[in-house]
Amino acid sequence: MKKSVYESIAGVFVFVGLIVLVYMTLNLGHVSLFDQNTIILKARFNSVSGLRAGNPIEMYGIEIGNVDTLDIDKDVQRAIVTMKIQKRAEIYSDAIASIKTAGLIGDKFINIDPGGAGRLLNHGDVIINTESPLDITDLIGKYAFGAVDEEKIDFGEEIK
Amino acid sequence: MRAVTVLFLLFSLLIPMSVHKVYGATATDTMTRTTDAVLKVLTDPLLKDEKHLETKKEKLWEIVDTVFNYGLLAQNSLGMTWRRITAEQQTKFARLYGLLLGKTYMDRILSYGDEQVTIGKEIALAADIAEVQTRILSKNTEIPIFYRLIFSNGQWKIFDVIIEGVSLTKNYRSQFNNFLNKKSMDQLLELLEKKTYGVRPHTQK
Repeated sequence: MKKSVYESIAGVFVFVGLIVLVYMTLNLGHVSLFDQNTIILKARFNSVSGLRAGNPIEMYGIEIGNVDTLDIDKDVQRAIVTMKIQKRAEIYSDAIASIKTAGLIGDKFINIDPGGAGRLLNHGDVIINTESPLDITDLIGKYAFGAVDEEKIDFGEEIK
Repeated sequence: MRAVTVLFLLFSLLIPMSVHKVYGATATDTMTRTTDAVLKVLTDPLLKDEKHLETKKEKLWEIVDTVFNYGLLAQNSLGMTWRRITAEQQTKFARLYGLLLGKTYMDRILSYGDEQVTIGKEIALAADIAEVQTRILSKNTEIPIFYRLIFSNGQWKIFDVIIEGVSLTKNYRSQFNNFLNKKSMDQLLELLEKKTYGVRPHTQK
């Protein structure tokens, strides 16, 4: 009789210990079994250069989710980004998703301007308005070449 | 700066001589017709003289009025604030914002030179939303300008313009939000009223 009481107490301890272990493992490892607090939103971009799965999604500078997957939308020939976003971040149909760089040479992240004039987006919806990352070298090249040409003309005139 | 000029040119191109004819069956068709119409006004020999400037402007305004969805442009540029203001403020803001955009673009359109506009591919962003990718080619540069159009009431209308990857709506939304963080909606309307005063004297929009 006494033995079975001790064994029961030990069993409860082991059970509680296992639950705590599982809970801590999931939390510390940022693993979510059911993902009840996040929704999936998608956005199509002309380019997602530099963006990787796992990169953060920000709203007002606060991290509200992560890039889940990056894929190619063959129908429209664009990149499609699937994002896991916390439910607390309410995002509307007039939201704008922009790919930004943290600092000058930092990692890419997606900044979401949530809008508010349209309808509230639900799980699986698509953010229509997007801004692809600016290709700085392309821009510099484009405008620099213009300047170089003008300089050539000036130079020629000086020689004359 | 060059990009803005190019945008204005494109805007010009968007304007048709006969406003009712700019609507196309597709977004690309609408953009092509609009571009042709704007170019027609800009290159019209009868309107070349400086004294016809106002007539030319009014013709361009007619095209801009037809092809731009001012309501959606205004709504998207305010975001959440749009829901918080009164219906009267919404109407006033949409009118003034339209004038502001028109004023900005009109100057650029009228500075049209020999740039060439090419209309590229159309991408369906949703069932009733499409992006038409255009490019303006000048001597040394090529500027990509993408128009986003929405189909409603049987017409394709522009609700956002992306120049070199920068969204017009996003740009104005940031500016308006910054302003409204410090000041009221009435003050914003007052400012817009000042900025657009006398822009379109002949027409009560």
